[in-house]
Amino acid sequence: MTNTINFRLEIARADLREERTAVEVEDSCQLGEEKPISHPGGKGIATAHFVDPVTLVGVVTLAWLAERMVDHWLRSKEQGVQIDLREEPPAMSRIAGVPVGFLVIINRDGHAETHKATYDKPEALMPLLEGILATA
Amino acid sequence: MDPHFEYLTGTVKIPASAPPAWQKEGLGEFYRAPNDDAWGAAVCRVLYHESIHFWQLFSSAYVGNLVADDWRRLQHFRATGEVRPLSPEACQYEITAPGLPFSPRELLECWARFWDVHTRGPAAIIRDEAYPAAEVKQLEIVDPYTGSRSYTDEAYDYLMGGGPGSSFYEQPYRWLLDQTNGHSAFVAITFPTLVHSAFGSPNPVGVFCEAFDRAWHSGLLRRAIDSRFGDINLDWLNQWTAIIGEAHLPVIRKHHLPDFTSGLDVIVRGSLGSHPIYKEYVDQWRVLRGHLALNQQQFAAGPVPADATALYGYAIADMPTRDPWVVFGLPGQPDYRYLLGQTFRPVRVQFDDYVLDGRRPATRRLQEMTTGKDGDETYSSVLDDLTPLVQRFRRAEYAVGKGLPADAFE
Repeated sequence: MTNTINFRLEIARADLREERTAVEVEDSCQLGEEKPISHPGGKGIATAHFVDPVTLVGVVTLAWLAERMVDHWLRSKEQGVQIDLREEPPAMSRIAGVPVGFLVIINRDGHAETHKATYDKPEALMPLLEGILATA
Repeated sequence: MDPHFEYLTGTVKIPASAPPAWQKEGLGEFYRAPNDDAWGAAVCRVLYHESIHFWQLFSSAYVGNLVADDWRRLQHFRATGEVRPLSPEACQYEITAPGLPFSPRELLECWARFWDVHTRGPAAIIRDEAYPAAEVKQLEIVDPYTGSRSYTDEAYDYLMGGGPGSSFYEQPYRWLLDQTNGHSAFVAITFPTLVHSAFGSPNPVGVFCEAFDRAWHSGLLRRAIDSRFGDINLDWLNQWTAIIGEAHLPVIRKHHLPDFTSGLDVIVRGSLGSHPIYKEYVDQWRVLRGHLALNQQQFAAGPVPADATALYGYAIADMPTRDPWVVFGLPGQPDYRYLLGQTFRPVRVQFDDYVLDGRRPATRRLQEMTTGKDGDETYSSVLDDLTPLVQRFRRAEYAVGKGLPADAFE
Protein backbone atom coordinates (compact mmCIF):
# COMPACT_ATOMS: atom_id res chain seq x y z
CA MET A 1 0.00 0.00 0.00
CA THR A 2 1.39 3.46 -0.84
CA ASN A 3 2.10 5.85 1.97
CA THR A 4 0.44 8.80 0.27
CA ILE A 5 -3.14 9.23 -0.73
CA ASN A 6 -4.91 11.55 -3.13
CA PHE A 7 -7.97 13.34 -1.88
CA ARG A 8 -10.13 16.38 -2.50
CA LEU A 9 -10.63 18.76 0.40
CA GLU A 10 -13.56 21.14 0.97
CA ILE A 11 -12.94 23.89 3.50
CA ALA A 12 -14.00 27.40 4.41
CA ARG A 13 -11.93 29.99 2.60
CA ALA A 14 -10.86 31.35 6.00
CA ASP A 15 -9.14 28.03 6.79
CA LEU A 16 -7.19 27.80 3.54
CA ARG A 17 -4.05 29.58 4.69
CA GLU A 18 -3.74 27.36 7.76
CA GLU A 19 -3.99 24.20 5.64
CA ARG A 20 -1.36 25.43 3.20
CA THR A 21 0.96 26.30 6.08
CA ALA A 22 0.46 22.84 7.58
CA VAL A 23 1.36 21.13 4.31
CA GLU A 24 4.44 23.26 3.61
CA VAL A 25 6.45 21.59 6.34
CA GLU A 26 6.01 18.14 4.82
CA ASP A 27 8.03 17.27 1.74
CA SER A 28 5.77 14.46 0.67
CA CYS A 29 2.56 16.48 0.99
CA GLN A 30 1.13 19.08 -1.32
CA LEU A 31 -2.13 20.90 -1.96
CA GLY A 32 -3.21 22.17 -5.37
CA GLU A 33 -4.84 25.43 -6.48
CA GLU A 34 -8.11 26.19 -4.82
CA LYS A 35 -11.35 26.71 -6.70
CA PRO A 36 -14.55 28.20 -5.32
CA ILE A 37 -17.46 25.82 -4.78
CA SER A 38 -21.00 26.43 -3.77
CA HIS A 39 -21.74 25.89 -0.09
CA PRO A 40 -23.24 22.44 0.42
CA GLY A 41 -26.95 22.72 0.07
CA GLY A 42 -30.01 20.72 0.82
CA LYS A 43 -31.14 22.92 3.70
CA GLY A 44 -32.89 25.74 1.89
CA ILE A 45 -31.96 29.20 3.10
CA ALA A 46 -30.75 28.07 6.61
CA THR A 47 -27.56 30.12 6.86
CA ALA A 48 -25.90 32.79 4.75
CA HIS A 49 -22.12 32.78 4.59
CA PHE A 50 -19.79 35.69 3.92
CA VAL A 51 -18.07 33.82 1.11
CA ASP A 52 -18.39 30.43 -0.54
CA PRO A 53 -15.94 27.71 0.50
CA VAL A 54 -13.16 26.33 -1.68
CA THR A 55 -12.03 22.94 -2.85
CA LEU A 56 -8.56 21.73 -3.67
CA VAL A 57 -6.92 18.41 -4.39
CA GLY A 58 -4.09 17.16 -2.29
CA VAL A 59 -1.52 14.44 -2.02
CA VAL A 60 -0.64 13.71 1.59
CA THR A 61 0.64 10.95 3.79
CA LEU A 62 -1.80 9.02 5.96
CA ALA A 63 0.17 10.15 9.00
CA TRP A 64 -0.24 13.82 8.06
CA LEU A 65 -3.92 13.33 7.41
CA ALA A 66 -4.52 11.53 10.71
CA GLU A 67 -2.71 14.26 12.61
CA ARG A 68 -4.62 17.07 10.89
CA MET A 69 -7.90 15.33 11.51
CA VAL A 70 -7.35 14.59 15.18
CA ASP A 71 -5.41 17.66 16.29
CA HIS A 72 -7.23 20.25 14.20
CA TRP A 73 -10.29 19.29 12.18
CA LEU A 74 -12.11 17.11 14.72
CA ARG A 75 -11.18 19.37 17.62
CA SER A 76 -12.42 22.46 15.79
CA LYS A 77 -15.38 24.12 17.45
CA GLU A 78 -17.45 24.35 14.35
CA GLN A 79 -17.93 21.16 12.38
CA GLY A 80 -16.89 17.57 12.17
CA VAL A 81 -15.46 15.85 9.11
CA GLN A 82 -17.17 13.98 6.30
CA ILE A 83 -15.31 11.53 4.06
CA ASP A 84 -17.18 10.61 0.89
CA LEU A 85 -15.80 7.48 -0.72
CA ARG A 86 -18.18 7.67 -3.68
CA GLU A 87 -15.91 10.23 -5.28
CA GLU A 88 -12.59 9.67 -6.96
CA PRO A 89 -10.37 10.77 -5.28
CA PRO A 90 -12.24 10.62 -1.95
CA ALA A 91 -13.71 13.96 -0.85
CA MET A 92 -13.03 15.19 2.67
CA SER A 93 -15.21 18.00 3.82
CA ARG A 94 -15.07 20.27 6.84
CA ILE A 95 -18.08 22.24 5.62
CA ALA A 96 -20.65 19.55 4.93
CA GLY A 97 -22.55 20.16 8.14
CA VAL A 98 -21.23 17.25 10.21
CA PRO A 99 -21.82 18.02 13.89
CA VAL A 100 -18.74 18.93 15.84
CA GLY A 101 -16.76 15.98 17.17
CA PHE A 102 -18.04 13.46 14.63
CA LEU A 103 -16.50 11.75 11.64
CA VAL A 104 -19.00 10.61 9.02
CA ILE A 105 -17.94 8.19 6.34
CA ILE A 106 -20.12 7.76 3.25
CA ASN A 107 -19.28 4.42 1.73
CA ARG A 108 -19.29 3.67 -1.96
CA ASP A 109 -22.80 2.25 -1.73
CA GLY A 110 -24.03 5.53 -0.23
CA HIS A 111 -24.45 4.09 3.24
CA ALA A 112 -23.27 6.51 5.94
CA GLU A 113 -21.45 5.54 9.15
CA THR A 114 -20.84 7.83 12.07
CA HIS A 115 -17.85 7.75 14.40
CA LYS A 116 -17.73 9.84 17.54
CA ALA A 117 -14.27 11.33 17.58
CA THR A 118 -12.74 10.22 20.86
CA TYR A 119 -9.25 9.97 19.43
CA ASP A 120 -6.66 11.31 21.83
CA LYS A 121 -3.84 10.70 19.47
CA PRO A 122 -3.60 10.62 15.68
CA GLU A 123 -2.34 7.03 15.82
CA ALA A 124 -5.72 5.93 17.12
CA LEU A 125 -7.34 7.08 13.87
CA MET A 126 -4.79 5.42 11.60
CA PRO A 127 -6.38 1.92 11.47
CA LEU A 128 -9.73 3.41 10.45
CA LEU A 129 -8.21 5.66 7.79
CA GLU A 130 -6.07 2.85 6.45
CA GLY A 131 -9.10 0.62 6.24
CA ILE A 132 -11.30 3.05 4.35
CA LEU A 133 -8.73 4.81 2.19
CA ALA A 134 -6.72 1.75 1.23
CA THR A 135 -9.71 0.53 -0.78
CA ALA A 136 -10.58 3.95 -2.21
CA MET B 1 -14.82 29.03 11.60
CA ASP B 2 -16.81 30.48 8.78
CA PRO B 3 -18.56 33.86 9.34
CA HIS B 4 -22.27 33.45 8.72
CA PHE B 5 -25.82 34.49 9.54
CA GLU B 6 -28.37 32.00 10.89
CA TYR B 7 -31.86 33.07 9.80
CA LEU B 8 -33.86 31.21 12.41
CA THR B 9 -32.14 32.94 15.32
CA GLY B 10 -31.12 36.23 13.68
CA THR B 11 -27.55 35.56 14.84
CA VAL B 12 -24.42 36.76 13.08
CA LYS B 13 -21.30 34.73 13.91
CA ILE B 14 -17.92 36.34 13.35
CA PRO B 15 -14.74 34.35 14.08
CA ALA B 16 -12.73 37.23 15.46
CA SER B 17 -12.38 39.33 18.58
CA ALA B 18 -14.90 42.07 19.15
CA PRO B 19 -13.37 45.55 18.90
CA PRO B 20 -13.14 47.01 22.43
CA ALA B 21 -15.29 50.01 21.49
CA TRP B 22 -18.20 47.71 20.56
CA GLN B 23 -17.88 45.84 23.83
CA LYS B 24 -18.25 49.14 25.70
CA GLU B 25 -20.74 51.02 23.54
CA GLY B 26 -22.54 48.57 21.28
CA LEU B 27 -22.87 48.76 17.50
CA GLY B 28 -24.57 52.10 16.97
CA GLU B 29 -21.42 53.87 15.82
CA PHE B 30 -20.52 51.01 13.47
CA TYR B 31 -23.56 51.69 11.33
CA ARG B 32 -22.73 55.40 11.28
CA ALA B 33 -19.06 54.84 10.39
CA PRO B 34 -18.51 51.24 9.28
CA ASN B 35 -14.88 51.80 8.28
CA ASP B 36 -13.67 53.66 11.34
CA ASP B 37 -10.08 52.67 12.14
CA ALA B 38 -11.15 51.98 15.73
CA TRP B 39 -12.91 48.79 14.60
CA GLY B 40 -9.84 47.38 12.87
CA ALA B 41 -9.94 45.81 9.42
CA ALA B 42 -10.91 42.23 10.19
CA VAL B 43 -14.62 42.47 11.02
CA CYS B 44 -16.20 45.51 9.37
CA ARG B 45 -16.93 44.10 5.96
CA VAL B 46 -18.16 40.78 7.33
CA LEU B 47 -20.51 42.39 9.86
CA TYR B 48 -21.94 44.68 7.21
CA HIS B 49 -22.44 41.80 4.75
CA GLU B 50 -24.31 39.74 7.35
CA SER B 51 -26.36 42.78 8.42
CA ILE B 52 -27.52 43.05 4.80
CA HIS B 53 -28.79 39.45 5.00
CA PHE B 54 -30.71 40.34 8.16
CA TRP B 55 -32.33 43.33 6.42
CA GLN B 56 -33.14 41.21 3.37
CA LEU B 57 -35.42 39.10 5.58
CA PHE B 58 -37.61 42.15 6.28
CA SER B 59 -37.60 43.61 2.79
CA SER B 60 -38.04 40.46 0.73
CA ALA B 61 -41.13 38.25 0.75
CA TYR B 62 -39.11 35.62 -1.12
CA VAL B 63 -36.58 35.43 1.73
CA GLY B 64 -39.34 35.73 4.33
CA ASN B 65 -41.20 32.78 2.84
CA LEU B 66 -38.09 30.58 2.81
CA VAL B 67 -37.42 31.40 6.46
CA ALA B 68 -41.08 30.77 7.26
CA ASP B 69 -40.75 27.31 5.70
CA ASP B 70 -37.74 26.61 7.90
CA TRP B 71 -39.61 27.91 10.94
CA ARG B 72 -42.55 25.56 10.30
CA ARG B 73 -40.13 22.65 9.90
CA LEU B 74 -38.43 23.62 13.16
CA GLN B 75 -41.78 23.72 14.99
CA HIS B 76 -42.63 20.27 13.60
CA PHE B 77 -39.22 18.96 14.71
CA ARG B 78 -39.70 20.39 18.18
CA ALA B 79 -43.07 18.68 18.51
CA THR B 80 -42.27 15.32 16.90
CA GLY B 81 -38.49 14.88 16.51
CA GLU B 82 -39.10 14.44 12.80
CA VAL B 83 -37.41 16.42 10.02
CA ARG B 84 -39.85 17.39 7.28
CA PRO B 85 -38.50 17.80 3.75
CA LEU B 86 -38.00 21.26 2.30
CA SER B 87 -40.90 22.84 0.44
CA PRO B 88 -40.60 22.82 -3.39
CA GLU B 89 -39.83 26.56 -3.27
CA ALA B 90 -37.03 26.04 -0.73
CA CYS B 91 -35.59 23.26 -2.89
CA GLN B 92 -35.37 25.69 -5.82
CA TYR B 93 -33.38 28.25 -3.82
CA GLU B 94 -30.00 26.77 -4.76
CA ILE B 95 -30.92 25.64 -8.25
CA THR B 96 -30.35 27.55 -11.48
CA ALA B 97 -33.62 27.14 -13.32
CA PRO B 98 -33.49 26.24 -17.03
CA GLY B 99 -33.04 29.33 -19.17
CA LEU B 100 -31.79 31.48 -16.29
CA PRO B 101 -28.14 32.34 -15.66
CA PHE B 102 -27.90 31.86 -11.88
CA SER B 103 -29.78 30.64 -8.83
CA PRO B 104 -31.77 32.70 -6.32
CA ARG B 105 -29.04 31.99 -3.77
CA GLU B 106 -26.34 33.42 -6.02
CA LEU B 107 -28.42 36.53 -6.68
CA LEU B 108 -29.17 37.03 -2.97
CA GLU B 109 -25.48 36.71 -2.11
CA CYS B 110 -24.51 39.01 -4.97
CA TRP B 111 -26.94 41.57 -3.55
CA ALA B 112 -25.14 41.44 -0.17
CA ARG B 113 -21.72 41.38 -1.85
CA PHE B 114 -22.61 44.48 -3.91
CA TRP B 115 -23.17 46.47 -0.75
CA ASP B 116 -20.23 45.14 1.25
CA VAL B 117 -17.81 46.01 -1.57
CA HIS B 118 -19.40 49.45 -2.01
CA THR B 119 -19.36 50.23 1.73
CA ARG B 120 -15.93 48.84 2.62
CA GLY B 121 -14.57 50.25 -0.61
CA PRO B 122 -12.46 48.47 -3.24
CA ALA B 123 -9.22 50.18 -2.17
CA ALA B 124 -9.63 49.02 1.44
CA ILE B 125 -10.57 45.48 0.37
CA ILE B 126 -7.56 45.20 -1.93
CA ARG B 127 -5.38 46.35 0.96
CA ASP B 128 -7.15 44.15 3.60
CA GLU B 129 -6.87 41.02 1.44
CA ALA B 130 -3.43 41.82 0.02
CA TYR B 131 -4.72 41.49 -3.54
CA PRO B 132 -2.38 42.61 -6.32
CA ALA B 133 -3.25 46.31 -6.42
CA ALA B 134 -1.11 46.81 -9.51
CA GLU B 135 -3.80 45.06 -11.54
CA VAL B 136 -6.01 48.14 -11.09
CA LYS B 137 -4.72 51.26 -12.84
CA GLN B 138 -6.73 53.74 -10.79
CA LEU B 139 -8.40 52.89 -7.49
CA GLU B 140 -9.95 56.22 -6.61
CA ILE B 141 -10.94 59.55 -8.07
CA VAL B 142 -11.19 62.90 -6.36
CA ASP B 143 -14.07 65.24 -7.10
CA PRO B 144 -12.43 68.50 -8.25
CA TYR B 145 -15.19 70.62 -6.69
CA THR B 146 -15.82 68.95 -3.33
CA GLY B 147 -12.53 67.12 -2.80
CA SER B 148 -14.42 63.96 -1.86
CA ARG B 149 -12.88 60.63 -2.84
CA SER B 150 -14.76 57.81 -4.45
CA TYR B 151 -13.80 54.50 -5.99
CA THR B 152 -13.50 54.04 -9.74
CA ASP B 153 -15.68 51.76 -11.87
CA GLU B 154 -12.51 49.89 -12.71
CA ALA B 155 -11.73 49.17 -9.05
CA TYR B 156 -15.29 48.07 -8.29
CA ASP B 157 -15.54 45.82 -11.34
CA TYR B 158 -12.14 44.31 -10.53
CA LEU B 159 -13.66 42.85 -7.36
CA MET B 160 -17.18 42.18 -8.61
CA GLY B 161 -16.23 41.01 -12.06
CA GLY B 162 -14.21 37.95 -11.16
CA GLY B 163 -11.01 39.25 -9.60
CA PRO B 164 -9.02 37.54 -6.84
CA GLY B 165 -11.05 35.84 -4.15
CA SER B 166 -14.11 35.71 -6.38
CA SER B 167 -16.71 33.03 -5.83
CA PHE B 168 -20.16 32.28 -7.14
CA TYR B 169 -21.42 35.37 -5.32
CA GLU B 170 -20.14 37.66 -8.05
CA GLN B 171 -21.53 35.54 -10.88
CA PRO B 172 -24.74 37.57 -11.38
CA TYR B 173 -22.75 40.82 -11.53
CA ARG B 174 -20.38 39.36 -14.14
CA TRP B 175 -23.46 38.37 -16.13
CA LEU B 176 -24.73 41.95 -16.00
CA LEU B 177 -21.40 43.33 -17.19
CA ASP B 178 -21.43 40.81 -20.04
CA GLN B 179 -25.00 41.78 -21.03
CA THR B 180 -24.00 45.46 -21.24
CA ASN B 181 -20.54 45.05 -22.83
CA GLY B 182 -19.02 46.32 -19.60
CA HIS B 183 -21.21 49.41 -19.03
CA SER B 184 -20.21 49.70 -15.37
CA ALA B 185 -22.25 52.77 -14.55
CA PHE B 186 -25.44 51.31 -15.99
CA VAL B 187 -25.02 48.09 -14.04
CA ALA B 188 -24.03 49.82 -10.79
CA ILE B 189 -26.97 52.24 -10.90
CA THR B 190 -29.70 49.77 -11.91
CA PHE B 191 -28.62 46.68 -9.98
CA PRO B 192 -29.69 47.65 -6.43
CA THR B 193 -33.13 48.91 -7.45
CA LEU B 194 -33.88 45.92 -9.63
CA VAL B 195 -32.59 43.25 -7.23
CA HIS B 196 -34.46 44.73 -4.27
CA SER B 197 -37.67 44.91 -6.31
CA ALA B 198 -37.25 41.41 -7.75
CA PHE B 199 -36.89 39.84 -4.32
CA GLY B 200 -40.29 41.28 -3.50
CA SER B 201 -41.68 38.74 -5.99
CA PRO B 202 -41.94 34.93 -5.87
CA ASN B 203 -39.55 34.54 -8.83
CA PRO B 204 -36.65 36.87 -8.09
CA VAL B 205 -34.19 35.62 -10.74
CA GLY B 206 -36.75 35.48 -13.54
CA VAL B 207 -38.14 38.92 -12.70
CA PHE B 208 -34.66 40.40 -12.21
CA CYS B 209 -33.28 39.18 -15.52
CA GLU B 210 -36.32 40.21 -17.50
CA ALA B 211 -36.45 43.62 -15.82
CA PHE B 212 -32.75 44.18 -16.40
CA ASP B 213 -33.17 43.38 -20.07
CA ARG B 214 -36.03 45.90 -20.27
CA ALA B 215 -33.89 48.49 -18.51
CA TRP B 216 -30.94 47.96 -20.85
CA HIS B 217 -33.19 48.30 -23.90
CA SER B 218 -35.00 51.35 -22.53
CA GLY B 219 -33.91 54.48 -24.37
CA LEU B 220 -35.25 56.57 -21.51
CA LEU B 221 -33.14 54.83 -18.86
CA ARG B 222 -30.04 54.66 -21.05
CA ARG B 223 -30.22 58.42 -21.69
CA ALA B 224 -30.95 59.16 -18.04
CA ILE B 225 -27.98 57.12 -16.86
CA ASP B 226 -25.68 58.48 -19.53
CA SER B 227 -26.46 61.98 -18.22
CA ARG B 228 -26.08 60.95 -14.57
CA PHE B 229 -24.74 63.23 -11.82
CA GLY B 230 -21.63 61.11 -11.37
CA ASP B 231 -22.26 60.83 -7.62
CA ILE B 232 -23.46 57.26 -7.16
CA ASN B 233 -25.46 58.03 -4.00
CA LEU B 234 -27.41 60.75 -5.77
CA ASP B 235 -27.75 58.74 -8.99
CA TRP B 236 -29.28 55.80 -7.14
CA LEU B 237 -31.92 58.07 -5.61
CA ASN B 238 -32.51 59.99 -8.79
CA GLN B 239 -33.12 56.87 -10.86
CA TRP B 240 -34.98 54.76 -8.28
CA THR B 241 -38.52 55.59 -9.39
CA ALA B 242 -37.74 55.57 -13.11
CA ILE B 243 -36.05 52.16 -12.95
CA ILE B 244 -38.99 50.64 -11.08
CA GLY B 245 -41.55 52.24 -13.38
CA GLU B 246 -39.77 51.62 -16.65
CA ALA B 247 -38.28 48.17 -16.02
CA HIS B 248 -39.64 46.37 -12.95
CA LEU B 249 -43.37 47.11 -12.97
CA PRO B 250 -43.99 46.16 -16.62
CA VAL B 251 -42.50 42.72 -15.91
CA ILE B 252 -44.56 42.33 -12.75
CA ARG B 253 -47.78 43.33 -14.54
CA LYS B 254 -47.02 41.05 -17.47
CA HIS B 255 -46.79 38.09 -15.09
CA HIS B 256 -49.77 39.21 -12.98
CA LEU B 257 -47.72 39.51 -9.81
CA PRO B 258 -48.19 41.94 -6.91
CA ASP B 259 -46.08 45.08 -7.27
CA PHE B 260 -43.96 44.36 -4.22
CA THR B 261 -44.38 42.12 -1.16
CA SER B 262 -42.01 42.56 1.75
CA GLY B 263 -40.68 40.15 4.33
CA LEU B 264 -42.54 42.17 6.94
CA ASP B 265 -45.77 41.35 5.08
CA VAL B 266 -44.85 37.66 5.36
CA ILE B 267 -44.18 37.99 9.09
CA VAL B 268 -47.46 39.80 9.73
CA ARG B 269 -49.63 37.48 7.66
CA GLY B 270 -47.94 34.09 7.91
CA SER B 271 -46.36 31.50 10.15
CA LEU B 272 -43.35 33.69 10.98
CA GLY B 273 -45.83 35.69 13.02
CA SER B 274 -45.32 33.09 15.75
CA HIS B 275 -41.54 33.57 15.78
CA PRO B 276 -40.81 35.09 19.23
CA ILE B 277 -38.25 37.54 17.82
CA TYR B 278 -39.36 38.43 14.33
CA LYS B 279 -42.95 39.13 15.36
CA GLU B 280 -41.58 41.94 17.54
CA TYR B 281 -39.42 43.46 14.82
CA VAL B 282 -42.65 44.37 13.04
CA ASP B 283 -42.90 47.25 15.53
CA GLN B 284 -39.64 48.65 14.23
CA TRP B 285 -41.21 49.45 10.85
CA ARG B 286 -43.36 52.09 12.56
CA VAL B 287 -40.30 53.43 14.39
CA LEU B 288 -38.39 53.66 11.11
CA ARG B 289 -41.33 55.43 9.40
CA GLY B 290 -41.38 57.88 12.29
CA HIS B 291 -37.72 58.75 11.72
CA LEU B 292 -38.37 59.15 7.99
CA ALA B 293 -41.30 61.50 8.65
CA LEU B 294 -39.11 63.67 10.90
CA ASN B 295 -36.39 63.78 8.25
CA GLN B 296 -38.89 64.78 5.63
CA GLN B 297 -40.19 67.65 7.74
CA GLN B 298 -36.69 68.84 8.45
CA PHE B 299 -35.00 68.46 5.07
CA ALA B 300 -37.60 68.06 2.32
CA ALA B 301 -40.50 70.30 3.23
CA GLY B 302 -39.53 73.16 0.92
CA PRO B 303 -38.69 73.51 -2.76
CA VAL B 304 -36.09 71.29 -4.43
CA PRO B 305 -32.70 72.98 -3.89
CA ALA B 306 -30.39 73.78 -6.78
CA ASP B 307 -27.14 73.26 -4.88
CA ALA B 308 -25.77 69.70 -5.31
CA THR B 309 -25.02 69.06 -1.65
CA ALA B 310 -28.38 70.37 -0.51
CA LEU B 311 -30.01 68.38 -3.31
CA TYR B 312 -28.64 65.13 -1.89
CA GLY B 313 -29.96 65.93 1.59
CA TYR B 314 -33.33 66.74 0.05
CA ALA B 315 -33.43 63.53 -2.01
CA ILE B 316 -32.48 61.32 0.97
CA ALA B 317 -35.36 62.78 2.97
CA ASP B 318 -37.84 63.01 0.11
CA MET B 319 -37.53 59.62 -1.59
CA PRO B 320 -38.92 57.56 1.33
CA THR B 321 -42.10 59.63 1.19
CA ARG B 322 -42.62 58.16 -2.29
CA ASP B 323 -41.33 54.67 -1.44
CA PRO B 324 -40.29 53.91 2.17
CA TRP B 325 -38.72 50.64 1.03
CA VAL B 326 -35.94 52.66 -0.60
CA VAL B 327 -34.27 52.55 2.83
CA PHE B 328 -33.91 48.77 2.56
CA GLY B 329 -33.21 48.95 -1.17
CA LEU B 330 -30.28 51.36 -0.78
CA PRO B 331 -28.65 50.40 2.55
CA GLY B 332 -25.37 51.76 1.23
CA GLN B 333 -26.69 55.31 1.59
CA PRO B 334 -25.02 56.46 4.83
CA ASP B 335 -28.25 57.88 6.31
CA TYR B 336 -30.26 54.76 5.50
CA ARG B 337 -27.52 52.47 6.76
CA TYR B 338 -27.44 54.33 10.06
CA LEU B 339 -31.22 54.27 10.36
CA LEU B 340 -31.37 50.53 9.65
CA GLY B 341 -28.61 49.97 12.19
CA GLN B 342 -30.69 51.78 14.83
CA THR B 343 -34.08 50.24 14.07
CA PHE B 344 -33.28 46.81 12.60
CA ARG B 345 -30.11 45.76 14.34
CA PRO B 346 -29.25 42.01 14.13
CA VAL B 347 -30.67 40.06 17.05
CA ARG B 348 -27.26 38.83 18.15
CA VAL B 349 -23.68 39.31 16.93
CA GLN B 350 -21.44 36.61 18.33
CA PHE B 351 -17.67 37.08 18.31
CA ASP B 352 -15.03 34.65 19.59
CA ASP B 353 -14.80 36.57 22.85
CA TYR B 354 -17.98 38.60 23.14
CA VAL B 355 -21.70 38.52 22.41
CA LEU B 356 -23.62 41.64 21.45
CA ASP B 357 -27.38 41.33 21.81
CA GLY B 358 -29.72 43.81 20.15
CA ARG B 359 -32.36 45.50 22.27
CA ARG B 360 -36.00 44.50 22.04
CA PRO B 361 -38.39 47.15 20.70
CA ALA B 362 -39.21 49.68 23.39
CA THR B 363 -42.91 49.28 22.55
CA ARG B 364 -42.87 45.64 23.58
CA ARG B 365 -40.96 46.26 26.80
CA LEU B 366 -43.32 49.08 27.77
CA GLN B 367 -46.33 46.89 27.04
CA GLU B 368 -44.99 44.20 29.34
CA MET B 369 -44.18 46.68 32.08
CA THR B 370 -47.70 48.07 32.05
CA THR B 371 -48.98 44.55 32.72
CA GLY B 372 -46.63 44.11 35.62
CA LYS B 373 -44.08 41.92 33.80
CA ASP B 374 -40.35 42.59 33.79
CA GLY B 375 -39.71 43.14 30.10
CA ASP B 376 -36.39 41.62 29.01
CA GLU B 377 -34.16 44.20 27.38
CA THR B 378 -32.64 41.78 24.89
CA TYR B 379 -33.50 38.43 23.34
CA SER B 380 -30.96 36.54 25.46
CA SER B 381 -33.49 34.38 27.25
CA VAL B 382 -35.36 33.61 24.01
CA LEU B 383 -32.08 32.64 22.34
CA ASP B 384 -31.14 30.44 25.31
CA ASP B 385 -34.09 28.27 24.29
CA LEU B 386 -34.08 28.76 20.52
CA THR B 387 -30.38 28.41 19.71
CA PRO B 388 -29.89 24.85 21.06
CA LEU B 389 -33.15 23.78 19.38
CA VAL B 390 -31.96 25.12 16.02
CA GLN B 391 -28.58 23.38 16.49
CA ARG B 392 -30.35 20.06 17.19
CA PHE B 393 -32.53 20.63 14.17
CA ARG B 394 -29.55 21.27 11.89
CA ARG B 395 -27.83 18.13 13.21
CA ALA B 396 -30.98 16.14 12.55
CA GLU B 397 -31.30 17.66 9.07
CA TYR B 398 -27.77 16.56 8.21
CA ALA B 399 -28.40 13.08 9.62
CA VAL B 400 -31.63 12.54 7.71
CA GLY B 401 -29.99 13.88 4.55
CA LYS B 402 -27.42 11.11 4.81
CA GLY B 403 -29.97 8.38 5.45
CA LEU B 404 -29.27 8.26 9.19
CA PRO B 405 -31.86 8.49 11.97
CA ALA B 406 -32.66 12.04 13.05
CA ASP B 407 -31.09 11.46 16.47
CA ALA B 408 -27.86 9.96 15.08
CA PHE B 409 -25.80 12.75 16.60
CA GLU B 410 -27.55 13.13 19.97
